[in-house]
Amino acid sequence: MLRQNRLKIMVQTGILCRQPAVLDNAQADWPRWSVMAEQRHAVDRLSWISAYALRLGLLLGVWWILSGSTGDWWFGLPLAVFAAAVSLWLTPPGRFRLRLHRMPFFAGFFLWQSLLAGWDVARRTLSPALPLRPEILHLPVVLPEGAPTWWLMLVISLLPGTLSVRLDEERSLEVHCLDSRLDVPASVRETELQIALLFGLRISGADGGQHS
Amino acid sequence: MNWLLEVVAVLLLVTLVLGLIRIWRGPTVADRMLAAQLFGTTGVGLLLVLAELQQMPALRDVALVLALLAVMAVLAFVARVWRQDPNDNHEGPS
Amino acid sequence: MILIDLLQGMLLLAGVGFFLVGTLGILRFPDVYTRVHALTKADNLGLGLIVFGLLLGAESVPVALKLLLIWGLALVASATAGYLVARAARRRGVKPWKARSGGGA
Repeated sequence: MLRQNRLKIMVQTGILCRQPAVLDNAQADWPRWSVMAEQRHAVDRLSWISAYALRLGLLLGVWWILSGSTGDWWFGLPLAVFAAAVSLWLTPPGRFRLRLHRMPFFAGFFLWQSLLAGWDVARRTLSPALPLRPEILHLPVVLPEGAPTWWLMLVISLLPGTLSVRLDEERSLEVHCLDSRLDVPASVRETELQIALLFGLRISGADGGQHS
Repeated sequence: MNWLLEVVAVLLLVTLVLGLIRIWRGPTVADRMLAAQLFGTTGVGLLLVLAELQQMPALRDVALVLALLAVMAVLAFVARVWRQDPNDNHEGPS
Repeated sequence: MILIDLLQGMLLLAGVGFFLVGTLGILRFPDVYTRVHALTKADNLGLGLIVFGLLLGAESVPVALKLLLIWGLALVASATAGYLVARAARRRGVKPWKARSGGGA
């Protein structure tokens, strides 16, 4: 079990290592990217149970934090049980699951990028010339629909110089960039890769053949 | 350390007041809404600093609720208000 | 101890600095879209730095976790709000501001 996990991580980091070569001509290679193996999960009874357990655990944790560990469990416990049930009703378990062991890597990527983003905005704001050259880009999204795409759109808005504006039916993401001189396609690509890893999806740069 | 927290709190208040200028100048309703969102984030920061400064842990809960309400306000605005105001000036630059 | 105080002070002041920058950006940037950029990025970083500054002085684990929870919530909230405002502006046909020939810089 452990060995299998490690193997999977090695495979994933192998993809990560190959990445820069692909990134260099990201725009040229763009449409060829595709999700190779979506390690999807069939939504069966087990996934409902595990989703419930996970959400209940999360909510109990939140209650512990909110109540300042005073332990007013007579109120918190029934509330968490109820809220977890309601959350399942409102948002049934999806096909995609976060890989918890990837969380620290993703958090590191995210924190570093938001630091850069804040710095970038500060530099532009404080410069007397106000160096802005905004443009709108349309970039195809290769991540599958659902949670991964939502993550992508939210995270992009917090990256340096990018803001997701909308996603159309052909899964083309409209991105507003602060400066056309930034290599936005490459950073969006990198973000997609990070999110793919977070969800245990495999993205390949090999010839997929589908051109838009 | 308290003097520093006080300085931080005052500076946060200054940013709030500066944000009022954008509410005043607009020009679109969305710009005013953005300033309101600014109030949300800055208010959360201010409340967290005050919670530490005045030793009032309850203010952290207020900050949590404020963060939630700020996004609800934007949501309601986008879903309802902006759609129904035909007199709004569409042009961006002020 | 003095080192921690120093670090805390630096984090807090840097955080306030980014809040000021965010507000300045909202005032200086030319259109809705660019203002959303300034607001979401600068303010989130500012709040993050303030949260990390306060974390160093947090009296207990639940308090520290609560600070992080608030930051996470604010992150998701402002990214969502920024996206919604930008999308609504686009739907209403608000034209993005363009740099005049050659642009700034």
